[in-house]
Amino acid sequence: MRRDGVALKHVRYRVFQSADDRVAIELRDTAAGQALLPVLSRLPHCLDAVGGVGCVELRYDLAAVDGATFRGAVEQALAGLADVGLPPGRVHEVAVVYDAAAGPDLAAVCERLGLSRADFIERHTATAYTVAMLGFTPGFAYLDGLDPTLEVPRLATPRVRVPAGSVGLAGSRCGIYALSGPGGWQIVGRTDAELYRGGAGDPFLFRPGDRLRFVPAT
Amino acid sequence: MTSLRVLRPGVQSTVQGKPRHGLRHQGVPYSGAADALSLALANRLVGNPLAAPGIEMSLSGAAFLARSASALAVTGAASEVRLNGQLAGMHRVLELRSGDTLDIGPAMNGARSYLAIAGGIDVPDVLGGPSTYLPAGIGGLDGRALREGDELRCLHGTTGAPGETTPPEFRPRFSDVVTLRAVNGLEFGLLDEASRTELYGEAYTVSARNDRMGLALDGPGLHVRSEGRLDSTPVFPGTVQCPESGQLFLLGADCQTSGGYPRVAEVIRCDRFLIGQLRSGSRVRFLPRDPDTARADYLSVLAFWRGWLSDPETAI
Repeated sequence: MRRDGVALKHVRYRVFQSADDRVAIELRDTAAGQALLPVLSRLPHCLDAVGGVGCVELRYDLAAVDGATFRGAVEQALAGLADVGLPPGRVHEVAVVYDAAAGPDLAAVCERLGLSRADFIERHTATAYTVAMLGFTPGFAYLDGLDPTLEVPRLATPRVRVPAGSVGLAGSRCGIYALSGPGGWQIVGRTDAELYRGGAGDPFLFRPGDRLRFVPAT
Repeated sequence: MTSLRVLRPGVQSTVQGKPRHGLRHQGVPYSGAADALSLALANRLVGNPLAAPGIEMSLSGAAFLARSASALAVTGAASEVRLNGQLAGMHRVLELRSGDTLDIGPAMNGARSYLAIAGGIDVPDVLGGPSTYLPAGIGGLDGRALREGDELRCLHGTTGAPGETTPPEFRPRFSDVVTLRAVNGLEFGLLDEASRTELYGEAYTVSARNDRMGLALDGPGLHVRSEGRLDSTPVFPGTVQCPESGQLFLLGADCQTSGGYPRVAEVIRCDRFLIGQLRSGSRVRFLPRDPDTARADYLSVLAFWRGWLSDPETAI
C-alpha cells in the first residue's frame, strides 16, 4: 500500500545541538523522520542518521565540521525538500506461535487484560500493523497499530536475552526481535519468519512503512 | 597461516575491531573496542590499521599460544605480560616464535587490555564489521566470547619495527578515579534544581551491574520530573540516562540504538574511550562542558595523538 508523501513545509521542525558531535531534529512526524534518513545521511560529514519517535539525530565528524556549520547544512537540506515519503511499503503475513514456551509473558498479559488466550490472539491478529521504525537492537521493529485494549506496561526487570523472532508488547506498541537481544517488552509469542538474512543487500526483512498482519501459527 | 590458540580465555575476551558505523537506523549498535584508543595503540606497534581486529580482554586477562612466528603487542589496563613465563612488558613489540606462550595478567587500574597481532585476527564481517556483539551473537569468533582451545587465524601482516615501544607520553595511565567531561543531554531540563547541581557536583561509583552495553552508577539519586518513560529516542555510547529510580546509567560501546529514559548528559567524544576502562568500584565525576568547548577539547586531543598515531580520529 502506498504511503503518501508528507509535504515537509507542513511539518514543523526544529534543529538543535544534542551532544558535542550530534544534532537533533524534532519534527513530531515519526514517518517523515524515517523518510528523511537517506537524505540526511548523505550530508557532508554525517556519520549516522538515526530516527526516533518524533525525532531524528545526526552524528557528524567533529574533526571536520563545527556544530553551527553542520546545523546550517541540515537546515538548508530540509528547506530544499518539497516533500518526503517512504517508498511503498511491502505487506507481510507473519505466523506467530502463541504459547507459554514462545511467549513467556502471554499468561500474565492475558490475566492482566482479563482475556482468555483465544480472545487475546483474536485481538492481536485482528489489526493491521505498520513498521514505524527499526531500532533498539539489530532489526528490532517498532509496530504501530496495536489494539488499544492490549496495552500493557514494560516488565519491571528487563530480560538479558530474548530470542530472535519474539513478539512483544510495551505501552501502545508491539515489537519484534529480528535477532536475540535484551529488553523489557512483554513477550507473547514468537515467529519463525526469517527476519534477519545477513549477507549483501538489506539484512533485515522489515523496513519502515511496511505493513504486516499476524496470523496464529498452526 | 599465522594463528593463536587460546590457553586461558579469562572472564570475557572477544574479538573487536572497526565499529559498525552507519547502521544505527536499523538498530545495529557500534560495538568495537570499548577503549578504542588502547586497541589503536596495540595495532600501531605491530604495523596494523588502527582499528584492525584484535582481542579485548576484561579484568582477568587471558593467555595464548603462538602457532607460528608473529609480532604481538599488549596495551590497556594490565600490569603484567609474560612471554614464556618471563616478564615481557606492555606497549612494546613482542616477537613470538611458534610454541611461545603469552600470558596477559589481570587489569590493575582500568578494566580492559588489548592484544594486537601483526595482520589482525581474521574474522568475517557481519553487518559490515568484524566486531563481536554478544547480545545478538554476531561478529568476532562465531558471535561469542573466546573459549579455551579456540584457534584464531590471523591475516598476513607486515611486522612492525622489532623492539619498538610506545613513547611514554603516549601511554594512557588509567585510574579508578575518572573525570568525564559531558554536555547537558536533551532531557537535562527534566532534572529538578538540586539534581542539576548534583549531577556535576557529586562522585558516582560504578556498580556491579556493568558490561559493554553500559554501566549503572551508584550515588546520590537524582529526581526527574517525568511522568515515567519517554518515547523511544536515539541514544549513543556516552549517553547518560536517568530512569525514574534516579540511578544513572552510562551507555557503552555495545549500547542499544534507542531508549526511553531521560537523557540527562552526554559524555563528550574525546572522553568516551575512558568509559571502556571503568569497572565495578571506579569513581566517576562528570565535568560540565558546552558543545563548542568540547570541540576545542577534541581538536587539541587529536593534535596531541597525531604525534604518534596517523589517524587518531579512528580511535578517539
